[in-house]
Amino acid sequence: MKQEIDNFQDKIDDYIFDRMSNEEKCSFEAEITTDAAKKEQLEFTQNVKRAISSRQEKLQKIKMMQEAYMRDECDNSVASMPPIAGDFIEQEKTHTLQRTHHRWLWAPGVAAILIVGMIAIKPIRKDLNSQRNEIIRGGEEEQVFDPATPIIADSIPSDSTSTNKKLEIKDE
Amino acid sequence: MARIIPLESRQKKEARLIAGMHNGDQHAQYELHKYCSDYYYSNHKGVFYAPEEALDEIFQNAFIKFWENIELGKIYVNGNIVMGKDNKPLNGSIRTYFMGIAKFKYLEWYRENSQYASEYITIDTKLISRIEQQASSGTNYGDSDNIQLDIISDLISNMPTRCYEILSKFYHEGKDLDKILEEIPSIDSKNALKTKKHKCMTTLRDVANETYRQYLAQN
Repeated sequence: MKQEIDNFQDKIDDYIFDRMSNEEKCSFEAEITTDAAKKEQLEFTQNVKRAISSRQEKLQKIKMMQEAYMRDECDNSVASMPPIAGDFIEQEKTHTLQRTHHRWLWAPGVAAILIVGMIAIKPIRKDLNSQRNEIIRGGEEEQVFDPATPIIADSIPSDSTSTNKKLEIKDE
Repeated sequence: MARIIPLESRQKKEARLIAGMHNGDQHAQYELHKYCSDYYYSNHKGVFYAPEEALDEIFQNAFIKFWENIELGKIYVNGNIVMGKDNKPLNGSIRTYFMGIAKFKYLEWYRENSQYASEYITIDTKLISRIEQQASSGTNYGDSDNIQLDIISDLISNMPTRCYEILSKFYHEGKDLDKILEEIPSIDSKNALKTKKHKCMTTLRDVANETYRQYLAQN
């Protein structure tokens, strides 16, 4: 009896997975219409297949939902985080902009100082040039830089022969 | 000027979720799962005494059952009202309905794991019988067009793991015995696998028939 049920179960499996020829299918369908127990066994198998497929599909969807929660929770936790990463970058951007803005303020300031400086320095340079010309013309500069002039303060008697010579000449 | 955004009433929200779930809307599936999950995990204390993994399993089985009830039309929407047993509006929230199913699933787990459960549970029989009474509202087979399918769906959620694995590979994934044998190397031969599969089917069928007989006797 058990063997018969098992064999018929194999037939049912072939039928529900469409692994029968048309002839076998017709014979099988005729068999179940005349035997209530076999018909019940077919219905039971069809229900098992349906219940398992329904459960497996739902389990897969639930798994995907749980993964989606994890992602959502991660996203929410980043959004509610103290200014560490995202805000930090924003703060850095603001500071860079502020620094650039300060640079733009400084540039015309420096330029203005330079212009004022150049205007103010021009007459001073004029004065200096005229003074320099006077020095050159007056011959004082020659005296200062004359190599023949003895440097008394920086020399000691035994320092050099040339200096000593000059001193000697003076004494004469 | 401040804009006033009207809040969706609980009744409307629940009706929208049930309708969306019935139509296979993924957003509704996600939202309803979260709606039930949040409620379950904040209210299971004092109701279900079980280890963490078992609580997750109970939730999962309860949610699948709830989903199947929506698909089978045991719970449906009629003009923004969620309808339940005997085509009457549901008493209370769908979360209460869901917890009824969860209690039934807890009871199944408790029966299956009574020895293991006793390590975790110091529970009085009054609580169990109260849960049994409450749970019956969530698992009324009489509302179903296909009572056997409903009973099988309940039974397979508590089936031994190996049996479920074999039947799932065979009937859901459509794999033949040779392929299953490759994937479950602990089974020695194709004949042993075939015998195991038939045994699982026979046991499931016997238990399903017995459950149906019991249901008929009670009603």
